[in-house]
Amino acid sequence: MDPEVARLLAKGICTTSMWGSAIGEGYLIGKALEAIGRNPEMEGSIFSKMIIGVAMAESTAIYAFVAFFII
Amino acid sequence: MSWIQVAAEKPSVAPTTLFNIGPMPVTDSMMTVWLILIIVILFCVVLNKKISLFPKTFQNIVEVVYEMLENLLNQITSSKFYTAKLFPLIASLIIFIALSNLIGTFIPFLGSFSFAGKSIFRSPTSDFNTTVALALSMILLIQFQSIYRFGILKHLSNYFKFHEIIGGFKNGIGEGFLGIINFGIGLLDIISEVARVISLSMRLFGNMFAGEMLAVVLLGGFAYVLPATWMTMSILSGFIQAMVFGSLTAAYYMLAMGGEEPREIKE
Repeated sequence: MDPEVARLLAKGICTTSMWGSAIGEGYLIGKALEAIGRNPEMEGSIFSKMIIGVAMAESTAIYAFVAFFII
Repeated sequence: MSWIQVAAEKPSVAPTTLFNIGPMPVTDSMMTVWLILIIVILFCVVLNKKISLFPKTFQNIVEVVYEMLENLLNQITSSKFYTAKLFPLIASLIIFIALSNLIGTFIPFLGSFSFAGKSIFRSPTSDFNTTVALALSMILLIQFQSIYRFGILKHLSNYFKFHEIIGGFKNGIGEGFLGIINFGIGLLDIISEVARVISLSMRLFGNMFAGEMLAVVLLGGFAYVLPATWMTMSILSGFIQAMVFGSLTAAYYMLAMGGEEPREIKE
C-alpha cells in the first residue's frame, strides 16, 4: 500500500469518531431543555451552563478535527 | 481554480519565524500578541482619561461587560472573597483570548501585511505555543496556590493518599484493600492534572486552527456566501471558547481550594 493511500485512509478513519460527541451533546441539550421545562424562571442560568457544557463535550470532536487536518 | 473559487494559503501548525532577537526567534503570532497588547493599553488609557461618576455611553458599555464577567465568575465561585481574588486574572484571560480569537475576523486586512514574503500577523491562539503556554501557566498557578495555602505535605497527600491505606488497615483487612484502591485513584489524579493541561490547550487550539483551515477550504470550494456563514459561526465560537477557558480555570481553582459551602450572594 502506498503511503499516500494509507494517509487518506487514516484521514477518513479520523472522522468516524465524531458521532460520540454528537450523541453526548444531544443528550446534554435534551436534559437542559427538560430542566428549563421544570423550572422556567432559571432559563438564563441553565442556558449559559448548557453552552459551557456543550463546548466541553465538543472538545473531543475538535481533537479529531485537528488530527484530520494535521495528517 | 475557476472563478467561483479563491485560492488561499492553508495555515501551518508551526508559526513562521520573522527575525531573531539574539537567540530567540520572533514569530508572527508574537507580533500579533504585541499588537493586542498595544490595543488594550490604548483602550485603557483612553477610558481612564474620561472616567466619571455618572457614566456616559462608552463607560456604560465597559461597565456592562465588567458586570457580565463578574456574574459569570460569581456563579462559579459562589463566594465574594474568591470572586474579588480571581477577577483580575480570569477577566484578563477571557478578554485576551476573545480578542486574539476575533482579531482575524474584525480586522480583515490583517493577513495582507507581509515582510519579505511572509505575512506578519497571525491569530495567536491558532498557534499551539500560545495555548500551551496559557494552559500550563494556569495549571501551575493553581498548583502553587494550593501549596501556598495548604503547605506542601498536605498538598502532596492529595495525590499520594497514604492516610487512606493506614486508616483502611486499622479498620480491617477488607477496608485495607479498599484503601489500596483509593491510593491508586490518588495516583491517577496526577495523570488527570496532565490531562487538564492537554485538554485546555487542545480545545482552544483545535477550535481556532481548524476554524482557519476550514475557512481556507471553503474559499477554495465556493467563495461566495458559504465562507460568511462559517465566519459567523467562528465569531460565536471565539467568544464561547474564551468563556470556557476562563470558566474552567476558575472551576479548577475552586476545586483545588476545597469546595466551600455555597452561600447566597447577598445583593
